[in-house]
Amino acid sequence: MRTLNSEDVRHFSKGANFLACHIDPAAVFAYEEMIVQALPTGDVRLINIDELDPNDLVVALGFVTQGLAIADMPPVGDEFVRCIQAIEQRLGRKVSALYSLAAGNINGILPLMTGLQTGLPIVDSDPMGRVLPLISQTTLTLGGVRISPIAVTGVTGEHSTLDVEDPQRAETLVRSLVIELGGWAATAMYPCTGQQLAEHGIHGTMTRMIKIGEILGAEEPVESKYVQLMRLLNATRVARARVKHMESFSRDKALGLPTQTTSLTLVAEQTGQIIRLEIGNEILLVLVDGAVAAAVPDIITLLSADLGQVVNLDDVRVGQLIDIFLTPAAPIWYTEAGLNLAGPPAFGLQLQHPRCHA
Amino acid sequence: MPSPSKAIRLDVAGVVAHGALSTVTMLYAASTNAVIDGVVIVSDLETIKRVPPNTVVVLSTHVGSGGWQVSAALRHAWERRASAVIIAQSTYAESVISLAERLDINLMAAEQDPSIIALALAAEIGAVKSLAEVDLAQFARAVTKETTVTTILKTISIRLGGFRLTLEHDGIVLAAAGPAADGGPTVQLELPSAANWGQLKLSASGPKTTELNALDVRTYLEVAVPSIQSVWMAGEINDSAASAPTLALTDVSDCLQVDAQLADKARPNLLAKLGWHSEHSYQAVWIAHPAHQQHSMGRTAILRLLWRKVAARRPLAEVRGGWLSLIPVDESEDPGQLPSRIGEKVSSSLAELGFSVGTSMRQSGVNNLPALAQQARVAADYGIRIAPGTVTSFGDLGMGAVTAYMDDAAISLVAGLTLPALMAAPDREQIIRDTLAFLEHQNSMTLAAKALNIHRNTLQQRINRIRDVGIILDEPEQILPLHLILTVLKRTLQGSTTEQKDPHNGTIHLT
Repeated sequence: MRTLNSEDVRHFSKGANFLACHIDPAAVFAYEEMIVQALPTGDVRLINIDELDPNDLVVALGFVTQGLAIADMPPVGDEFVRCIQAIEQRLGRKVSALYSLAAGNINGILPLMTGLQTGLPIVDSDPMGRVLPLISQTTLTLGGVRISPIAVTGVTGEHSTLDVEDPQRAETLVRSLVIELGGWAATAMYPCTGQQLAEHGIHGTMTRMIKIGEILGAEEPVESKYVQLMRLLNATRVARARVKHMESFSRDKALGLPTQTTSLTLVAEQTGQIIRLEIGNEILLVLVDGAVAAAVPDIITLLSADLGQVVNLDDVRVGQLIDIFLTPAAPIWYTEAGLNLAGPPAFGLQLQHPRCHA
Repeated sequence: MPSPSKAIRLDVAGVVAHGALSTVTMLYAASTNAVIDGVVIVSDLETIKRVPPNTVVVLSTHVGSGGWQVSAALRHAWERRASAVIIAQSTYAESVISLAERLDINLMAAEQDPSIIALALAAEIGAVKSLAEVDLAQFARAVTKETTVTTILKTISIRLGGFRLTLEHDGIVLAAAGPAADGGPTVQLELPSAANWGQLKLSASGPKTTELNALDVRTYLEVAVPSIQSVWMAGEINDSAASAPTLALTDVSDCLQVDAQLADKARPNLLAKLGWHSEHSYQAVWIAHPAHQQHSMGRTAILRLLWRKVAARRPLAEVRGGWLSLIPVDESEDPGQLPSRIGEKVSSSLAELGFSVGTSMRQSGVNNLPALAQQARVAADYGIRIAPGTVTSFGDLGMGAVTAYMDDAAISLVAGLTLPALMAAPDREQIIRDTLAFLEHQNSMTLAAKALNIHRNTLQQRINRIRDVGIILDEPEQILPLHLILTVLKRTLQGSTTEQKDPHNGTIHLT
């Protein structure tokens, strides 16, 4: 077990942003500030999966948004506590620990706050190993772990508990409910045993975010940071390129993939290669001279070439020099079942993933 | 025969200028004018990975609506060496054009439905392919009508618009047609050959200005190959038949040699039936091959094809030890004309094969035809032993020719027995050379030294060395055998040195 201090939380926040540079980080930074402010009132305890009893009840926490940015209407603060109570009430037993629905962005960091509020430890594991847009896109789904009961608390405090078997059906119901609840909702889902999470979760992902933040926050040359990141994440730099062109398309999207597609065109400094980023809910695809260099579930991060800091998509400007990093996702995402659930076709891209050699 | 300058394939520039693509907007024109063999409408990217080269890839409106898909399509099309990519007018962006420029692939936008463009282009391609098929069929008929390899090559050359055509065997040009090549494209085709025929190659070298590409030329060559083979085989059969009188002559030669007049009385019409005429003059040609060469049918066929350059109507008869032809000659013709013609037409090719040619004296009438054959054979054998690859006239042989018929191995054995010190001497080559010079200049020290380009005193010292190794120069009865033995030894030593080539630089080390 590790008790996090304010430095850890700030590093955690940076790491959460690195792994999901496609999302506006305002809410992450807001949560970071809240947690740091609240640290004197309690402990944020991070535990390894093997510190849990196999029968302990654990539950995933995460926001589901549908049109409303969390930073635009911040939560009151008791939403996730209510969700945990609802799960405990439905299952008739106490929750022993919390875990993040995703290892990145807001859903990566928010359980720290809830842990502070409830005194429950946070498991150093998650069911995505990155951020994926759909609540059904988890390794627990791949492992056959039930997603429900799902506790939902909306913007105005309205709450509900859903029982649904099929994760895809749960996706539809939850998103419909979120729209009615005001645009975002706090949720608790995938209640399972410590053993189930041990078997089907991805581990060490919270610590990884802290380590990423430590590297990014260090007073070191950019190239030194890159070397450490590549070593830590088995990452590669696809290119150092200058942004040349941005464009947006209106195309039909399936339910749950609400954002419009945007394309970013860059030109590599050294080689002149034309690099195209296809962006939906996240950076879905990287083409280098038209050839697929990376595709979801690969994690793509944009870093400023001069500072080595994360560049969020909203901040990308024409003429900016950017390093494009590719971090492989957890190996299970590159299996046939993993790619079916979270590979390019799941995002409407009819192409074969470059890591798939079938 | 259609015009040779007309290309048989569509190309992008032509179709954009005045064909099915005249209505498209050229977003990027590649630096080279691509040819078009086909068109495909693509509704998913995977399809592009399977298109053959020189295909125009038309993206359906659905595929073309995604920017990344156009980029990926361009990449796949470039990898497949497609001729062009056509997308819907409304979808292209600057980045896509930049990628087309980087990959140097034609990119076009269609205002109307791209599939309509594709259908129009398919119709145009079909029409051109039909014309091409008709053209090829006409070409095939034309070459089929030809009766010699050379005329077939001429027909191909004309159809290709001035290509140089050659039929080669191991680098030897057996037949050729067309103007000299001037640096245009060259296409080579290996001919399927029967056993022992060796590797045959049909080669076409075009003018720089040709519109035809390598694939076009190869297509024509492939169409012509069966005709070349059949004409050659037919010619071989004809030559075999036409050489029958010469073969028959060798069979009856014994009888003719005994008493030609008697033989003529016994078989009054035999020679006339075989095509020989008593009022003609004849000259025999014998082509000899090195004794170690294995016999093969292919060798005779190749030689006969070469021989047509010299005397197409008098084919070579394959006889023991070589090939023989008896050629009627005009009495007014210079006797040296036939060897000159042979030298001019085929001697370099025969030298490549290691063959030598001998020609006989000219004689009137048919009585001594076997003798003529013998003269030509002697001259050819002399060439094989003394100067491989040359044309030798029997009339030019001197008495020295007799050394060509000595048994080198036997004489070497005698030399080992009678001159052991010489055979063991490390400087035997120089001793032999000096001794021969001395003998050939009638024992004149002065003339021999001059011939050897050394001082007389030096030669005097060498003569002492000659005597040291047991060579006796003072007994007249031994001079002739000594001369013969040394002549053979010199030849043998020269033969052995020429075969010892340095494998690293091809130079020759004298031993």
